[in-house]
Amino acid sequence: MLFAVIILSIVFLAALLYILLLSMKLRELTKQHADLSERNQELNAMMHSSELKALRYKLNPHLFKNALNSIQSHAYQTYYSMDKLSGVLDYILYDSDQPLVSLQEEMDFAANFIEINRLKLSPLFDLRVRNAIEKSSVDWSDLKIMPLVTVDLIENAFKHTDFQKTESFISISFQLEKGWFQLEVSNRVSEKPPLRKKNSGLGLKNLEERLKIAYPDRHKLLVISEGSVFRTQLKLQLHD
Amino acid sequence: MTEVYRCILIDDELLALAYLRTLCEAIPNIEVVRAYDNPINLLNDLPELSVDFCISDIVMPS
Repeated sequence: MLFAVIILSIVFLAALLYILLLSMKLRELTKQHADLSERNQELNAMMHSSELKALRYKLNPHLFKNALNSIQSHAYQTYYSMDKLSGVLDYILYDSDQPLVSLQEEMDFAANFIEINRLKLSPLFDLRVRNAIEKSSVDWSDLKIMPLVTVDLIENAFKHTDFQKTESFISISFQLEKGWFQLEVSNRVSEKPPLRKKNSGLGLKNLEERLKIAYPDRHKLLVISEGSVFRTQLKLQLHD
Repeated sequence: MTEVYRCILIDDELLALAYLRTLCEAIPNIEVVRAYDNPINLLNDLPELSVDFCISDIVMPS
């Protein structure tokens, strides 16, 4: 009997000891678990932030490259048009007060002047410039012409064209035939009535007066209006 | 006189088109006939155009 009690109490004690041991182990594991899940959260957060960083580095260089391309294009066009404007100003300031200049100088001026006017147009606009003089085999290096004689017709075309309409156009062509210089400009005029009615046509009238004085009986100025297409043609017999 | 090559440009990005046009204008024996931003318009006009070559974007809408 006593023996049984002793054995039972030993078993009981052993069980108690074991339970104590287990509960200690459990506490330890719970703590470990808490630590691990905290660490896990930290790692998750780190992963998200590095993912974000990676995305940022993926996105930005591309956008910057696009922006750089645009700026480069703007810069080149700024440089290009400043050069043209500088040419136009040079010509107006230093060359145009002479009674006659070389045809080459006037042609260079006209080309620059057209490029400056092109700035405000959409690149899609139908602007045709044909220079048949430079392509022709005729020797025209000694020919002289009145300065700024081409400006009015070209300026008028840019002033009166409706740039919003898709079928609008401006066509400018230069030719040289048997000593006669020819400038032909045609464009589709806007149907909106011009704002400055009083001043419209002043440019052409001025040109006519200048031609009468500088090229008496050696010029022809044709102004033709066919529907919405306006065509002007200037012919001059040039001096050698 | 050197031969003049007639060229058309096509790109759906207007800024790129303007840049391309400026670059081409600076080359003396290239004449830019027209610039397009829509390939359909270009195909419609093509029979009436006399051109030597075309500078084209690779991927464009429609």
